[in-house]
Amino acid sequence: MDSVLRAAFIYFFLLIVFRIAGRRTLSEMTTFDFVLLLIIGEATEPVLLGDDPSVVYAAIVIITLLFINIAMSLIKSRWKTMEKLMDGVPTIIVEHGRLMQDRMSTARVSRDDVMEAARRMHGIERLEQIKYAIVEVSGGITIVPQASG
Amino acid sequence: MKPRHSKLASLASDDAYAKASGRNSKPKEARSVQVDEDMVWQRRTWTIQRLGWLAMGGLVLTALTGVFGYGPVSCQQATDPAGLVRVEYERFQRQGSEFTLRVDVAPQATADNVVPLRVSGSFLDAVEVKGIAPEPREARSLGADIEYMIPVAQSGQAATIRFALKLREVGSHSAEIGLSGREPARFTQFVYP
Repeated sequence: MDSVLRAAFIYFFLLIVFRIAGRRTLSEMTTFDFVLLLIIGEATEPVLLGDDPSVVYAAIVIITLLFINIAMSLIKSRWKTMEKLMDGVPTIIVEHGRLMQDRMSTARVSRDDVMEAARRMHGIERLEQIKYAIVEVSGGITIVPQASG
Repeated sequence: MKPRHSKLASLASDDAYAKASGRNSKPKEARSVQVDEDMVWQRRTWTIQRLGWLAMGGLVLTALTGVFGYGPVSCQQATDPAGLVRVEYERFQRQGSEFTLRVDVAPQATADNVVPLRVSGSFLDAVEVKGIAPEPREARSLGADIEYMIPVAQSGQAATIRFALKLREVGSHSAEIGLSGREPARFTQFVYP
């Protein structure tokens, strides 16, 4: 019982904390972000396993985490609100070459980020060539170029 | 057939519509890109995130004060009414953590080369005694409580007894530590899970 509760608590705790931290924090990972993620993993490990290194305990914890994850994906596919709550919604930040400044600043996306994504994906040189730029749920920026090119 | 037609129409008029609608007056219908955007939701999320960051910062500062254990707020002292025993303890602790409880005994109480120290049973239920320095000469049961007979080298000198403890039970528990036959020092500890 203890192991299931611990795993469930950690699952939802991390879900909430990472949702609050925002999608731009760990999505475009730098080396340091990666190190930070490893440290966070280290910090949760003793809470999950406690001082019981038995195989059964570890198996229960792993299965509980995976089960919650599957259950959550099922809930998400059934209820749209739940999906929005857990994953967020995509946001358009450039429309027809026009930056939407207020959205960009709150989403912590700079003009340089948009241009970088535009260069990387479509070899776009100027802002006017972008039809839409969207911050996706995953945290990446998607660029739709103007039809004329 | 009809809905598709209107969709095509909106596709074609996308540019014109967006220009006509000006800055931000709901050009959602006109967008050719099929993004499931929900700006009301998004703005609410951003607000909640900002509040969450504040809460996280607040939590870090609170943790620095020691409200979650080991800090200036947490480190406290309790004295018995007669002023013979002073206990240094942590007000807030965490389950499973080990800490040292320091008991200072005044010179008046160290006669006969022995200090009879009484520790309440409710406290001993909540903690596990890993060790006592100096080792008691004798430990006796006094009802639910335990009386430790702590040896002292020089009678009439102040003595310090250290208890190495490990916290077992979650929640608030009160403790009484004092010389047997006298009013003990009382304190309360809160143990986080």
